[in-house]
Amino acid sequence: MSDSWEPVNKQDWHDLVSMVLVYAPDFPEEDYLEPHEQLTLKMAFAALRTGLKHFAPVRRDSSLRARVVGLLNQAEKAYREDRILDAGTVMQEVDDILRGSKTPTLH
Amino acid sequence: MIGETLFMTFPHDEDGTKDRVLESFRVADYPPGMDQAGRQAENWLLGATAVIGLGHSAWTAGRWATSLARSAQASGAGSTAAATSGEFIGPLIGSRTQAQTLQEFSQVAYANYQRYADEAWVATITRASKGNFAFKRGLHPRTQIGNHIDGVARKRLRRWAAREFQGEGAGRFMAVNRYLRSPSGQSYRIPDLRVPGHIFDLTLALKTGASSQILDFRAFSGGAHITVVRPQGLGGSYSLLP
Repeated sequence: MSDSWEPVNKQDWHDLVSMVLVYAPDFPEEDYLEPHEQLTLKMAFAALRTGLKHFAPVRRDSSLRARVVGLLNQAEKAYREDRILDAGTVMQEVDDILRGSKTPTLH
Repeated sequence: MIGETLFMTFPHDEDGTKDRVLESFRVADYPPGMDQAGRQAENWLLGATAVIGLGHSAWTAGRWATSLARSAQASGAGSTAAATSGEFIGPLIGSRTQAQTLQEFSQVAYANYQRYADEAWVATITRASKGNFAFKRGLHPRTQIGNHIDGVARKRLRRWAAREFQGEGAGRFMAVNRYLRSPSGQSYRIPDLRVPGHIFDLTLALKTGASSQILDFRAFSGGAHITVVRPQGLGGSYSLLP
């Protein structure tokens, strides 16, 4: 098992999305980790982008991958600008896409 | 039964020997009730391997234990052969966790799980109360909050496990969101967190021991203790008697 925040499977990827939705941009400190290992916004989104490898449709479809990565970038930027609701809405959209759900999110 | 050595067997070994022995352990190392678990040995694979303290796969542990049991029977040495394997799992589990026994480990895992749930609950409610939580349409907000708290707690547990004791899953000290199959193999449940002898299920709602989920947890695990983990803000956690 990888000793990092990188998702190990699809469920773990969605769980990281929950972490982002609940806490971003400021994540809780883990007392067993060194300061440089604590989850940050940059680290979380890097892990989410890397973790896209667990989704077969994203691996197969480059346009879908580009769309999802674009949305993740958009959400990360919104969190940096403290637009939490906007960022969360985009994250829910990404989550929906990767779950295959068509349910739209509320704004 | 306390202090006795148990051998757990189940009848569908891959090599056809029909007598695969998974592990022996001292009953004193498990919470009360754990000695009922013999008929559900497969579901205790996690704990069995953890007690041995090996980082190898469960299959390796099973073969080792089979060999050990046969040797013990052949020599007439009986239960003494493996009696010490479960006395401690130390010197310590993890660099910061500081647990030396399965009981201690179980307590630390529960404490962490409870804390993750509490913190996620507070953070989510705070965010939602400020209008900063993006809820999906068509799903009750409380359900969504529960799902995200579940996700946060799982992620933090996995991260802790990865750092402190080579992760979770089969052959590890705990299992996060893993299949728990019925003896027949025809049905299953997915408990949030399992440690040897104990199942923790995180929920916002109240669950009783009569719910089908709880009944299945108990039946499939061979009598594990079950604790419903709820955020302190909702009244806190409680354990269910059989």
